[in-house]
Amino acid sequence: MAALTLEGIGVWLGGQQILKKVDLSVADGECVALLGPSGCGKTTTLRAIAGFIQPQEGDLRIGERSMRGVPPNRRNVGLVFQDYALFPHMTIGENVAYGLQMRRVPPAEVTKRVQAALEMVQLAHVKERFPANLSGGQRQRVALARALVIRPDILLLDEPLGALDRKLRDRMQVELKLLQRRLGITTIIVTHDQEEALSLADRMAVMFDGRIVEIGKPAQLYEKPGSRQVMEFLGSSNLLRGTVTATDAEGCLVVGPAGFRIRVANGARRQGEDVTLAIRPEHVRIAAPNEAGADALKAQVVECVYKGSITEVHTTLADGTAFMANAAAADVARLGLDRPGTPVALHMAPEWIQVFAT
Amino acid sequence: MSDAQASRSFGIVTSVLAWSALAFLVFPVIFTVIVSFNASFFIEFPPKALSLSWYANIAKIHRIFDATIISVLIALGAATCATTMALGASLALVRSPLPGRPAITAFLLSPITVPMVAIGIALIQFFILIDTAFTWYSLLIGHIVLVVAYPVRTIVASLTLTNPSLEEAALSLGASRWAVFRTITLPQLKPGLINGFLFAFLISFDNYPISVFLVRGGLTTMPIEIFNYITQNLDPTPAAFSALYIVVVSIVITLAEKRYRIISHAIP
Repeated sequence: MAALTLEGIGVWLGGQQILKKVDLSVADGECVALLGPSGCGKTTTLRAIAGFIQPQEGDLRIGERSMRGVPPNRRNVGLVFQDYALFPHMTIGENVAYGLQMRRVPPAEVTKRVQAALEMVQLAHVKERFPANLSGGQRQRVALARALVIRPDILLLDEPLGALDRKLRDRMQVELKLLQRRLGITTIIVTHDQEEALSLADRMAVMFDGRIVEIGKPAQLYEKPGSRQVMEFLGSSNLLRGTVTATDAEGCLVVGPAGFRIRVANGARRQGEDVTLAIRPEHVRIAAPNEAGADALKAQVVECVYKGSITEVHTTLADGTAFMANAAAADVARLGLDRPGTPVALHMAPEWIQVFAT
Repeated sequence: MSDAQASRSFGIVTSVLAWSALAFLVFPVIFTVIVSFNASFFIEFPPKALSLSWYANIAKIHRIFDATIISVLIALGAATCATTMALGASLALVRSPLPGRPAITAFLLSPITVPMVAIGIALIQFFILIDTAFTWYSLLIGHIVLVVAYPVRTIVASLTLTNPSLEEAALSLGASRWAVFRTITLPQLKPGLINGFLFAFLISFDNYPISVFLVRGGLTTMPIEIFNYITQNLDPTPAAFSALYIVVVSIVITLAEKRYRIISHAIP
């Protein structure tokens, strides 16, 4: 186990720059998720760490050792592929033993460690079977056992849960997190699924266009993102355009064409500056129009989408801006939110409103 | 005519065509097998009496027997060399960033499309030029040229189907490039290799048009000798030989299909 450092990594593939000066430092035992839309360079970063791509620029260190020119088979990195890449012509036992045999571990120890690795993922009973005869979730765990049995310095997971169905994914998420904690292994997860990143990672790095634009604890990135791009990428958000009309020591007053005057606390803003306010649907409270406070937004219900634990209420503001809020089942009935055209008042807690330069 | 009637008559037409095509393929084979059991000296149908004497006669015609041994050896050699060469070529064609890959592929597959007589004439002229005509290795090289396209095709198909992340997984588990090739790549290619080898062997074994330019005297192959025999004799011994040949090949193909699904691989 070891720390991982990426310093100014630049990768060009086919004349195109895929990674642009990527810096990342992962502490020993930490779990970091690389999150971003497809084509943002997260998979390329993973492949560079694994050694399948040699960056043209920058340095990559595992522990203190520079990986420049070190081929993948000499890196001691455990890799779980998106499609698991289990060897179809080998049994589960042979699959897990492969890395140990390639390291010339004595046969008696191979048997012992394979057994232990399979027990760790509760699959000792399928040792003699072939990958084709396993379910998706079992294959995923075999791939994990095969990657961990070599006692890698770094564990790399490429969309580890992407191919599993919803229920299995939720369970594997918990199992994976427990396993990672217990082994204390430095882990990099590449994913486009933010839920996976939010729930698995100690820290997550959001990538856009070959760069890490922001890195931090999941809650911090979700609740107080540093840029509008990250705010929009993580979860859903409502965006309101407005202009700063007054500032004082505590914050500023933003007035927008949608007919609102909102006091926001955070962010040093100049008077007259155009800004975008962003707020997540779960931080909006829906009330009847007559309960409206001074800061409330007036809106009309367009559509009501039932999601089980919550109901998404789609509304439009006075100027036609779409705005979404989450409502509890009781409020849907009380306020008649399921009838399109119902007028409502939307309250936003100031501490949850993010202000970004437009 | 209603839709149901139209679709019924379409069904009748296609099944008649399908059955005729099958009959066209199978009847000559059945005919040959029946004739081989005919007791009479002349080929006649249907046979008046049955006998196994023509099977006994195969062993007595030493030229056919010797030529069959040569054919087996040449076919084994040509199939082995062609499959090995095709493996290298396929890896280069599928995996390397080699320029002009479509052109090279077309060139390697050309023996399938170029008329065999043309290949035969070209080969013999070339061998005469370098003074190696009518030798073992000129016959072997000629057959390699003849069959190399088949393993190229099956191995390229196998390679395209393999999952490249398997090899990356092996690399990340600490295997060297050579170990990856031996333990991961080769086993993945096994169906393509076996299929290509079998095709190459069978094509070489019963090739006539190219061999006819490359053989002389004692160096002669089975199809050449069978044909020579037919031109000089009228008895059904070649039919008996053919029947035997059909049985052996059917058994080999069936076993290979059971174990390696070679036919399912050949038909995409």
